[in-house]
Amino acid sequence: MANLHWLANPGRFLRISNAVVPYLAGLTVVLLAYGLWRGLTAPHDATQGAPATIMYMHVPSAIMSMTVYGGMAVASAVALIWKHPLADIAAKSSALIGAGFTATCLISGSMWGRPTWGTYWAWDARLTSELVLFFVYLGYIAIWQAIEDPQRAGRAAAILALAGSVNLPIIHYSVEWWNTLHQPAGLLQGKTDPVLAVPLLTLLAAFFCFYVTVLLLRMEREIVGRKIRQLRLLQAQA
Amino acid sequence: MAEFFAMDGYAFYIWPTYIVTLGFMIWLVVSTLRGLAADRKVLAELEKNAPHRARRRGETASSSPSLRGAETSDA
Amino acid sequence: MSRFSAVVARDVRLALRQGGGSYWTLMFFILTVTLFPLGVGPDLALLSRIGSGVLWVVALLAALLSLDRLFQADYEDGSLELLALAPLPLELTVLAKVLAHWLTTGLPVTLLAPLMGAMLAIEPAAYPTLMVAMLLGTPVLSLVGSIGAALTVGIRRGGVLLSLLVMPLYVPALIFGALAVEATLEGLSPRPHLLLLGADLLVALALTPWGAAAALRLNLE
Repeated sequence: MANLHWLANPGRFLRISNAVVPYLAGLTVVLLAYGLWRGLTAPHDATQGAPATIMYMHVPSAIMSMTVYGGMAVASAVALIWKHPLADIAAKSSALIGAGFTATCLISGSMWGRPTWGTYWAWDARLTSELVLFFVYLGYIAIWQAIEDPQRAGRAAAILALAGSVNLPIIHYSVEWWNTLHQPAGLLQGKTDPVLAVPLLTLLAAFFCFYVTVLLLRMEREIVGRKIRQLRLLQAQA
Repeated sequence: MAEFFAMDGYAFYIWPTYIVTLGFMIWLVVSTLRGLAADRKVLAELEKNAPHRARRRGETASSSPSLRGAETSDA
Repeated sequence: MSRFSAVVARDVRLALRQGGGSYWTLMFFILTVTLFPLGVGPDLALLSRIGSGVLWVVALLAALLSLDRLFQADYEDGSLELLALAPLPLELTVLAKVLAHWLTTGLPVTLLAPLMGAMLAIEPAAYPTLMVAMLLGTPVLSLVGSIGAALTVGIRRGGVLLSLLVMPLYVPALIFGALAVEATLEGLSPRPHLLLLGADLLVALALTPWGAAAALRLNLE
C-alpha cells in the first residue's frame, strides 16, 4: 500500500483540473473562433498575397512546438530532481501534443513554401531543425513505450528529454550555420502589420489554451491509467 | 463566398493546411476524451471490486452504477 | 587513475578479441562505403562531391551499430553492477568505457578515412582536414551515444531504439565535420568548422558522462 500513497496528491490535482478545464476549453474555442474570423477575413498581405494566410496556422504551431518541448524539459527536470509524480505525468502527457504541433508546423510550412519558394521542402535551417525536433519527440515517445514500468520509463524519458534540451539549441545553431534562406522572424519585433498581428496573437493564445486544456485532460487520463495498473497489480497479488 | 474559398487561386495550399492543423487538434481532444471515458469505466469497475481501497484514497472517481462487477473476488 | 585505465584496457581487450565486434564494425564501415559508388554510379566527379558526407554518415552508422554493446554485455553478465559498486565513480567508468569504444571504433575509422576517401575520389589535399575533423567528431559520436546505450540497456532489441534516440543528437557533429572537409575542398579555411566541432566535443565530454551514469543507475535498480 505504501506505493499508493502518492495518489493522494494527484487526487487534489484532479479536483482543481476538473474545475478549470471547462473554462479553459471555452476560452480556447472563443479565441480560436475570433482569431480565425479575423485572420481569414483580413485583406491579403500586400507582398505575400493569399498564401500568407497559412501563417495563422504555421506560426502558432511553430511556437507551440518549442514551448511544449520547453515545458516538457522543465517537467522532466522537476521529475528527476524532486521525484514529483505529477511532473513525470505532465512530461509524458505533453509529448504527443508537442509532436503534433511540430508535424502541423512542418506540413503548413511546406504548404506555404510551395507557392512562395516554389518548393514543398527546402533544406533550410529552420525547417531542418524543426524536423530534428520532430524526431526528438518521436524518440521520447518511443522510450515511454519501450519500458513497461512507469516509474523507470519516466526517469529514462526525463534523462532523454534533458539531453535533448541541451542538444536542441546546438542543433538549431549548427543547422543555421549550415544553411539559411528563411525569412527572419519579425513577429515580436513590432514589424508586423496590426491587421496580421491581431489574429496571429489571438490564434497563438488559442493554441496555448488548447495545449493547457488537452494537457490537463491527458494528465487525468494518465493518472486514471496508473490507478488501473496499480489496482490490477494488487488484485493479481491477492 | 466562392471568392473567399478560392483564396486568389491558392485554395489548394491554404485549406488543406487549415484542415490538417485544426483536424489534428480536434482529433487529439476527441481521442483523449474517449480514452479518458473508457479508462474511467475500467477504473470504476475495478474499484467496485475493491471498495475499501477506493474509499481510502479520498478522490472523486466518477463511478457509473450501471456497471456490473466482474466475477473475480478481491479477498 | 589506474582503475580508470584498467576499465579502458579491459574493454579494449574485450572488443579486440575474436567476436568482440571491433573488426565487424570496421568491416561494416568499409563495405557500406563501397556500396555507395555501386549505388550512385562510378562518376568520380559526383563521388568526390558527396564523398565527405558519405564517410561521415557511414562513420555515424558504424558507431551506432557498435554502441548497443557498450553496456549490454556487462549488464547481462552482471559485471555492470560490480562496476557501479566499485570505488571509481560511475561517471568515470562510463567515460572509460566510452574511451575504449572510441579507441576500437572511432579511431580505426579515422585512420581508414583517407583510404576510403581515395575510393570516393576525395581530393588528397583534404585528407588532413578530414582526419582532424574525424578525430574531433568521432568521440562525440561515442559520448552522445553512451546516453542512448545506457537508456536502452535493459530493453530487448534496444539497438534500433538506441539509433532512433541518438541519431537526431548527432546532427551537429555531422554538419560541422562534413562542412570542414567541404570548406577545404573549396579552398576556404576549415578552422571555424573545426573549432565548432571541438566545442561540441567539449560540451559532450562535460555533460554526457552524468547523463549516461544516471541512466545506468536507473537501469541497475
